[in-house]
Amino acid sequence: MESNINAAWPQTCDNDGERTDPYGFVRPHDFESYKEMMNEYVAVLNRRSIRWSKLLQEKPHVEKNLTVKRYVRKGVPNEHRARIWMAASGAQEQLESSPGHYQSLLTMEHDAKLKETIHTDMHRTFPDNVLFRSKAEPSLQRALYNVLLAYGCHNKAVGYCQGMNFIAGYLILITKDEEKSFWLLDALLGRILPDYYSAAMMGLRTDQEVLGELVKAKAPAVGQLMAQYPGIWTLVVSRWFICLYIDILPIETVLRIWDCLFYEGSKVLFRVALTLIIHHQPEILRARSLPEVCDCFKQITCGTFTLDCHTFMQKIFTEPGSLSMATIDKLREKCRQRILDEESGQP
Amino acid sequence: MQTNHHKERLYKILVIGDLGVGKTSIIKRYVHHNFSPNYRATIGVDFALKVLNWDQETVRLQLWDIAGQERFGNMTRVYYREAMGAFIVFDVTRPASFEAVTKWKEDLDSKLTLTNGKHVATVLLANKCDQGRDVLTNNGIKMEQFCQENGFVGWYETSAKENINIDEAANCLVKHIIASEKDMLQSEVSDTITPQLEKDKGGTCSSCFRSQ
Repeated sequence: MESNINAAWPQTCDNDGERTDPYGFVRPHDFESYKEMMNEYVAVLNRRSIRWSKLLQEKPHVEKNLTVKRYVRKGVPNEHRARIWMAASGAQEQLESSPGHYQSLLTMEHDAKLKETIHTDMHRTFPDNVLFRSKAEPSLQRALYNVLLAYGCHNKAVGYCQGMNFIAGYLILITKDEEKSFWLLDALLGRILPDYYSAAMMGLRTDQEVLGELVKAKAPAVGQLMAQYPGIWTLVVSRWFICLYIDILPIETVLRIWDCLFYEGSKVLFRVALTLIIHHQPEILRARSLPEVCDCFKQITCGTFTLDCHTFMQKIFTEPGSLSMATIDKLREKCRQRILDEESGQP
Repeated sequence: MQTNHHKERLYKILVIGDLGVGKTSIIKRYVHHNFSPNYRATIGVDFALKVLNWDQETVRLQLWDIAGQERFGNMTRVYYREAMGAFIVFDVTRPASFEAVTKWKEDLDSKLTLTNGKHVATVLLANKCDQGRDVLTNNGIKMEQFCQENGFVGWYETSAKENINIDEAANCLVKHIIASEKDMLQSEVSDTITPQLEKDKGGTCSSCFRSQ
């Protein structure tokens, strides 16, 4: 098992001497810090890998219980990720109950506008990933295009929304399978997340406000600072939510967050945001203008705090304190109503 | 504010247009003087700052990079507030992105008016001109006429990749912003609008090509 992980961790890649991580991302600037982190993290990965193999041997059917929840929070090993995500999110069930659905979506006639929009984002999804380059053999761009096109036909209310390209891209990197990626995307958009990507983006706008409310309660000084700048939450956190932290946080950290997202639901997105904000209160409070606040919110996502994913994931369950689903539900309802009221009040 | 010595001006400028037309690339070229074919699609809003020396004054530009996909509009319109100027960008290789220009302009004008009731200065950018001029040559569109009819103060063929006309377009916009600011101050003072300034404002882009 140890050799398995080490094999998945090439120090350098042959690709024209470019230094890439195991997922194919070129890391010209932060390769050393990433490698350093991984050298320590590999011990955790090995330990978790052994535990998970044992668990799955005893109980091949992934149940939802406290043990599995604890296991998920400590990280799903990459070799089991696709399987656990599929099982925990209900995507596996969907896939099995709708055989051929994905293929049929690909062969039907497609809306020209949908095709063009998706096509425009192909070379702008992961240009820094060798596997997504158009010249790669095989290029994952094809798989990405297929998954997004199929999803756009499957869920017409959503169609295609930017951000989905990054999410589908990660799913393809992890599952290495179009159909599984499709059903995982469906689990996220259809069940796990409130409606983030449909035309009105109501769920997203609501969750930005909800975060604002949570910050007011848990870090009042930051809440006060942010209140000076109307609309600032959209500016600083819309990308966090739309991209589910892709490109905001380091990839290993994002995957660990997604482990919890697929297993526990969207609450974890708030835990991450709150941890980032609460942990960096002094820095945020030093900001004196809108540009400074925005800059600060970019800075707090970088560095060892977020790179060290194992410690970070422990922190998100302690630093923000208790966060019940009932609280979130209540805040979502309140904020949603507020947005609707504001909208209807406008000329 | 009233003294003219070493006055600092801060202008908020919006950069809008359909997705993938090169808004981010134009901003990066203008602010950071570089270009990469590897920019990722912009999600939501981002902004960058540029400092200019303008007639012995410091001009600070806050360039707002607004995601091009229509549905982000619900969230991003709030950032139109207090903008003094705008670039509307299209991709010369994609006719649909040009067809959307009037929609972007109408949207901008409906959401944003200066205190004197006029629209903000807007420059049209025909980007990716290094890759062809299909839209400009095929449709027989008279760009000067198009700009006048749609209320653009000027237009430029630009290439963020080859660094063509980006500075020139920005200078043109800043010039018009300063003019409209003067215009606003004047109308505040005398509560009338001087028609001469208006005429000046209507100058086509050719006037902007002259060095400042």
